[in-house]
Amino acid sequence: MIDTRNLTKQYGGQVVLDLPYLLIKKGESFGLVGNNGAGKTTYFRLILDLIRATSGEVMINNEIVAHGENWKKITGSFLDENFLIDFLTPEEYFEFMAGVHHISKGDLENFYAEFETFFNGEVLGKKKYIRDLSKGNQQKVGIAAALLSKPEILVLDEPFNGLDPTTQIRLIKLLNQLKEISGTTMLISSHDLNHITDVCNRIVVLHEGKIHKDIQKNDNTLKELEDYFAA
Amino acid sequence: MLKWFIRNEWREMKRSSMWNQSVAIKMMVGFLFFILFFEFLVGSIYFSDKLGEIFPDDDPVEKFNSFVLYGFAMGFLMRFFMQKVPVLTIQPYLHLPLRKSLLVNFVLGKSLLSFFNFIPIILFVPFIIFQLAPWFTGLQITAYVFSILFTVLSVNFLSIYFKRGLSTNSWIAGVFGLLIILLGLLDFYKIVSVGKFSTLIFTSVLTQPLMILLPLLVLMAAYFANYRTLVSGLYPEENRKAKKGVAVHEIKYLKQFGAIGQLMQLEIKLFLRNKRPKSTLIFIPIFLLYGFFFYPQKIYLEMTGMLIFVGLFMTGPILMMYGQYILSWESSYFDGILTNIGDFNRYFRAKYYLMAGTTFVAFLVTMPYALYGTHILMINLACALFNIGINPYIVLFLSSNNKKRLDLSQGSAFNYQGVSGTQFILSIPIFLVPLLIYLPFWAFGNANAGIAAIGITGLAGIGFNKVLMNFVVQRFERRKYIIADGFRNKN
Repeated sequence: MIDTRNLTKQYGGQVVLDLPYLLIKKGESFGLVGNNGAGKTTYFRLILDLIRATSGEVMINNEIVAHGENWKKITGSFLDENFLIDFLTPEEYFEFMAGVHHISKGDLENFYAEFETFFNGEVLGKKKYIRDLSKGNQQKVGIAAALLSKPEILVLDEPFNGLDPTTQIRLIKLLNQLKEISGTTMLISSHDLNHITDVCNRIVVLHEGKIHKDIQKNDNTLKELEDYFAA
Repeated sequence: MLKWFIRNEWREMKRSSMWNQSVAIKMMVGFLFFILFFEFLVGSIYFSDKLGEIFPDDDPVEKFNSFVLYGFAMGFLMRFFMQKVPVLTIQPYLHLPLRKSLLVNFVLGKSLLSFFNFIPIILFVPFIIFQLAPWFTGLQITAYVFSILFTVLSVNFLSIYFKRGLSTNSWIAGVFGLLIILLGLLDFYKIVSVGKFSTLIFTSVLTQPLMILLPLLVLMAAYFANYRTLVSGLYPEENRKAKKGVAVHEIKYLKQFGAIGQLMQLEIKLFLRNKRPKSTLIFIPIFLLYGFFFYPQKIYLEMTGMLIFVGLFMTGPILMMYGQYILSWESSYFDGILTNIGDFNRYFRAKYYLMAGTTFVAFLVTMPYALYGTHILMINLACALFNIGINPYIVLFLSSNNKKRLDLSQGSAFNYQGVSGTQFILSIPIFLVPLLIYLPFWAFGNANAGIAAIGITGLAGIGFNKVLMNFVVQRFERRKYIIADGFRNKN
């Protein structure tokens, strides 16, 4: 479904990402771990066509992302606050996103109902602009907005960052449901090895822009990752 | 400790984004400030020197002093809008083992560096040299200087005091402004004389130097009022604007236009809810009233080229103010735009309709200028057509050059954050192209045909809108990575 070929990205002659071949299949839950500067966000930005690849390409459903726009209809994403229109209220932002993705009013209402627990009463109906919400609640808005269009592919960069423990647990549950019920293809990065092994079935370790491990999850995965990063 | 304060302030100033500009922009801005300063100074010297000739019936010193109070009132109002309350800058020091009184005195002392405190120097020094020095003794002049100094500082501290107390309702400043105008009118019709009162205070200093005690007392009172409220209220959250629940307004009318209407709605909200774009809106009246500078004067009425310039200016306030930062306005959420918007043709059309629509409205508003001659109406119509058919596409085409993140939370006055060469380049084709169209017709003695040509070019632009829009979108698609990369760079 997401096909990466000969992808490299350089900044000022320095290679920050080098992925000769990486195929993420439909329905796979793909976790990306690595220390700061390993290239996680760079890879996600390349998938979402936010930066130009130095060479190679990413294809979603056989469409090169840099040359087409169709993939945007099936992809939901939230990387950082550069995605949030912070002078809108959360409701206005969701309405805007619903409009962009041609989602009906009724479906939007359903969406609010589904995310009620996730928002924990701290997001909707507060009469606050997004910029006045706490970082954690902004994060909730961004994650929810990525899921608003019921995307086939979901891309989240460090979604657990800044969330309170309750919401972290709810997010893990939510993502697992999406995986099992909707078969959503998920790409998630995290610094928290526990969380990523809770959610993802396939885990890739990036180091200095290269794949160091590509693991199908089993009972030993967490231990294996911990050993890797401790070394 | 004070040494550290000063050192840190100096570093802050040196590293502020204002200096973080390319040399060309620094020079441009520096030149602008220099010109302003120079004009101010020359004006002040001329006025002081010729006071006796401008008001032959009055005593020049008394006349000058009659304006002083108005000047300070205006200064107060300007400070209220533009001078920052410096309280938040000490936030990083609050948890350190420092006496509160030290911090408060530092905060208040820092406010003395505001450039508003230096404007009076330009205004008073020439007056003192030309009008006071020849006739008064050193003691008298010293008393006068100090009374002015005390008053300037009083205004400084009073404005901080009021701004802190009233920061949530800035309409009070509007009321205050109206009050000044009202008093001015009453003065003009000789009902109440503020001028006389002003003369009384500041001239009496010259005859009775002890009178400087009056402004000194006001200054001390203002300082201690500030000191007391700050010492007891040095909590950052109390010095920020209180956040109330926000009222959400939708423009229902735009909803019927589907996705485009929604994008337009977003831009309108962007303008109304962020400080930077909002504070540009106060310039709209200046754009619309521009005609009054030109039309009443016979010389200009015969200079059609100049009238074209005025027409373009008046019918395009939003085109120019909003247009120069298109895309940059959205820099804080641009990645979201790129990943969610699949149809950039539609995205740019929303922006086009905003510019074209407001140009149309501006044309309607400026129609009464036809009273100065029907040819003005014709020129403005041609300019409006050009501002609808061609100029928005020039603006949109060049918007792909914008790649500097714009911080929307700061006011726009004297704010050069996010300014780049693009903004200067933009104005050239917008004004130059219509004049170039007009010029050959004028050279062959048919100015009216030239004006018609401008309008017809505008109409042609409307006819070929699809082609023009394609140029815009194609250029954007080519440059979008560069733009997005620039916007992510918070600097």
